[in-house]
Amino acid sequence: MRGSSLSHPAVLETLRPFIVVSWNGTSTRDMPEEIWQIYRAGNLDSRGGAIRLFVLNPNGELVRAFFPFAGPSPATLGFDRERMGLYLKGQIEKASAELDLSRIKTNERKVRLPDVRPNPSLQQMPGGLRILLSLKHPFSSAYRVPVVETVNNSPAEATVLQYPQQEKTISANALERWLEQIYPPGMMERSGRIVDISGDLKFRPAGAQENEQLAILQGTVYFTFDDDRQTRYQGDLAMTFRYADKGQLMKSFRGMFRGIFPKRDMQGKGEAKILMQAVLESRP
Amino acid sequence: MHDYLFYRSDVSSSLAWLLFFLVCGLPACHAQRLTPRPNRGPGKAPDQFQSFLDFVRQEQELEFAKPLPEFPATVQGAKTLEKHVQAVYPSKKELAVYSLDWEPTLAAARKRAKAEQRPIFFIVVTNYTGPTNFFSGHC
Repeated sequence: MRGSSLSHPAVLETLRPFIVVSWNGTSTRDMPEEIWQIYRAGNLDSRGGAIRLFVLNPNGELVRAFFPFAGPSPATLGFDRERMGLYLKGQIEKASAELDLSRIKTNERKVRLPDVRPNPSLQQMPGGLRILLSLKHPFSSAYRVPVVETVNNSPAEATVLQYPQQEKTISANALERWLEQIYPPGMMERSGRIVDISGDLKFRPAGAQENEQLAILQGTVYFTFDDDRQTRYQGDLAMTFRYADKGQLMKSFRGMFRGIFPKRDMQGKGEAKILMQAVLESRP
Repeated sequence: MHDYLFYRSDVSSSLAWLLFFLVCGLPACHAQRLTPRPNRGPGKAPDQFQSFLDFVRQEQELEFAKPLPEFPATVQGAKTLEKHVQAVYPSKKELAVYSLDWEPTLAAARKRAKAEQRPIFFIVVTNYTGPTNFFSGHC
């Protein structure tokens, strides 16, 4: 839904007056009471799939609940983004028919990506990192919207990434908190997380410019994924770091990752390549 | 108690689908197997549209599978790398879902909704096969 109907221009336009929020859990057992109350009041049956949508009025009271698809999955609309988008638009309009949305200003909003919280205790480097992970699958269009994750930096990263006075090698594992975000979504096996990261990364000083010292980090990263096959995959990482105060203070960094995740099909007979490309950038 | 009932209803839904497949899907598969396949012959040209799709896929794979070049440890090398990063940065269109007015929690959304007299669009995902984060896209 995130990459199909919710990203449809007509749906985005219809949702302009709304404040949007999501909640995720493995089951209703995880639900806080305030969410359970809405969920229960929605009175939807279990045939419509795992995603349920609720329109609430400005007082936070339920107006109407519905499913994003005409049936239990996007398959009922032929995985057709256009049909799915127009269906969702219609459902939102129906659900909000009794609300007066005409007086709400609906200026087109700028893209506002997930961001890190300020981290005043970390002085030597930016407070965090944002990763935008783009995916392509030869047989699936489910990855249209990049995964966007943020990670707060810690003193451990600040120590490892101090300006290199000369070329040195650092272990990819030292950046585990960053790199563990680089995996495709929707694997749905075991924990669906990375259990091992390895590889040697070359960290080299790259000259100075206008009171800034530059450095480049580059190398191949090897991952082991916690699925039934303990899938191993790899990719290239390259990043630029900019420092001030003769290398004492890291001002910013930007980089990219490129790799392939080999995904077995459910029967274990075929293998599809999920192509991954990530941008890593310092925040704020 | 209510959680258990809903969990059970999810399971019964899966069983209903399995039954549906057994009733409708298996006969269809069987019929397909009995239907003689048209003899394409060894000299039959492949479908041109399919060939085009295959070509596009291969090109995509090649682009993504390309190893990154070795960036020289110079100011120019660092700038070249930054240009590479800029070139692959997702477009506004790809990130359009983040142009919606998101709030991180229902409580925060309710507070703002009341203050600004705006409605809330609330998305609830219960994915029993694994953790999902609808906002970030990871699951």
